[in-house]
Amino acid sequence: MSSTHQPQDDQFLRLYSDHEPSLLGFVRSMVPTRDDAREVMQEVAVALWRKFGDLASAAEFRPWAFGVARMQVMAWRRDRGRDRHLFLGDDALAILAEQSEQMSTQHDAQHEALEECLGKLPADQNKLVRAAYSPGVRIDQLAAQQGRSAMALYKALHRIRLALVECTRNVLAREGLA
Amino acid sequence: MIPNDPRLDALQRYTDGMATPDDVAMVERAILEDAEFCSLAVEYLYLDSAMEEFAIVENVAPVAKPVKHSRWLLAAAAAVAVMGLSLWQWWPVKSSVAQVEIEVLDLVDATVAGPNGGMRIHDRVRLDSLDLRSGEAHLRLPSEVKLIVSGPAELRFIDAMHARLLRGKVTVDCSAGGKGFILETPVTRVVDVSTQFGVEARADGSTDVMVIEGKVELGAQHAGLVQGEAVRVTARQAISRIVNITGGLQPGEWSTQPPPNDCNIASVSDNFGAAEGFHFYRTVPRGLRPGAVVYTNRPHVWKAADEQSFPASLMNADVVQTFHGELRRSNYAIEIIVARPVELFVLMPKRGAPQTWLTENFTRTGEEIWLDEIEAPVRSHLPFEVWKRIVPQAGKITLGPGNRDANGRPTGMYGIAAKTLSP
Repeated sequence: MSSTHQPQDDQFLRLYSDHEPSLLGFVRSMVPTRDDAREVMQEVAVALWRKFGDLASAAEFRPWAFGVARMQVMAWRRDRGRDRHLFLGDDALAILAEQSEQMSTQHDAQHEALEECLGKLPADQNKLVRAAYSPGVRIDQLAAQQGRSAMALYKALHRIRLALVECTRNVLAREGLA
Repeated sequence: MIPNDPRLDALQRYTDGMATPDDVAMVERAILEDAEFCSLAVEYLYLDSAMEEFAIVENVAPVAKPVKHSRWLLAAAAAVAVMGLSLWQWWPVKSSVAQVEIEVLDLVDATVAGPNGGMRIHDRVRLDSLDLRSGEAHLRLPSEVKLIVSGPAELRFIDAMHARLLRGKVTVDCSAGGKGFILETPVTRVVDVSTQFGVEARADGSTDVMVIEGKVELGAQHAGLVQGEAVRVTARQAISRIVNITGGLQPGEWSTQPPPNDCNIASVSDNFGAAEGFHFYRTVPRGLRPGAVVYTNRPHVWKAADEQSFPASLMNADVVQTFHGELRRSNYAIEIIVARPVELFVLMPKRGAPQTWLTENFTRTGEEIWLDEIEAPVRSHLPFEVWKRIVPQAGKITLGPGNRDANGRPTGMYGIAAKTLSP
């Protein structure tokens, strides 16, 4: 076990870990799928690590990290030019990025609101949506287990997501955050 | 929100990776033209990424309400005042990390910082993080995954199947459950396929991954590692083979640091090359005894020959666990660097013809030990002969291929051990 751990490493790891969920949400808003978001996040982590020494102070980490994440998303899109027909255009992306970054300032509140709203779902819906987002779960297999088609399950999840969005808006409004 | 708005269906297909170009065009137009839809799209996509933190994992304890920052702030401030720690080193975990019910199986000289400092063996505690300053903490998660955390180490728990190692070393045992357990570090994500592995998030930003048993997958690198393999992943995502692991007799006792100074074997290397994969040699100081592991990638152990005691000349020798690689190569070589004058032992299968590098430099001691195939369908043993060479000074010794049968085929891989040469 090395005992030569540098304070700067500690600082980076803590800052990155604290901001990772909101960065992930930000990246997710700009790429088509969750798998894409995870892939980009790997690049974001590496880029931030490599450039961390250039950062003047910890207070600047958040805007800097979002800027780096945005650049990484753009690079990822360039690398996958053959899929561009499945990408949103640059103008739409810029609007999404701006709104997403703004929303991420309330990440903790969003998270708590989402947790509260999950608790308000009927038990079967709660179980379904949690199961669908479990690591390694495939929707077609989950649908087969439940004796319904994958398309029907996607639609059910869509309805639950819309209900959760509506509910979290109400919770945040109640807290004076919407 | 209009329930039957076709733009919402397009957003769903886009989110689930099933969008057609028409769907994408529809979503894009809606984002550009309708501010309300744009807000909804951002919230919908955010929810899609955030939901993973609430996913179901089998046997997971109920997730507790996140701890409010204010309480953490008071606790942190108190610790700073009492312990003289910097607030920065002590800062609380963010609320998005869930608390997980953890059983404390053992604490070995463990110093735990923060609010978990009072935990004791057999406690069941709800943790969202562990800051282990020194010693070892043996923990069991609700998923039956066992973790041996070796301090200094800092770990954050996402749920019973997912943790994040910020720094330090963790040995993971998923043999009793928890297949699919994920351990993240700043540069990679290790997913257990089965069943025991070690990860160290190093101070230089790289991560070491070593598979003790079974198989793991490295998420970002799309690489699979099997038993007996170890790699270092750098911050730039480069992967390189770790050739030497220093081991001990307990599962958590492994390190990529060189063996301690009193070990006779300083390092091992070979000329197998990249095609041979990422196999490592494990040097265990004073580790040779009945039950000691023979190969890093086989479940075989050493035992005394029938009706004989284990040779005293070998007992507690520093031992190298070798691996079964591509033994058909006629010119493979293993280089051992010994730290001082030693008796160097080669434990060679008692089958086939010894090669000249062995017969010309080593002598048979007349002793024999057996390899016990403990997990073979029909348990059996294979006899090995003990060969010895006096090495009068520290330095490098080159070993060659193992014995060959009459058709030139290899008869198995050998073992290596060393003891300090008596004056």
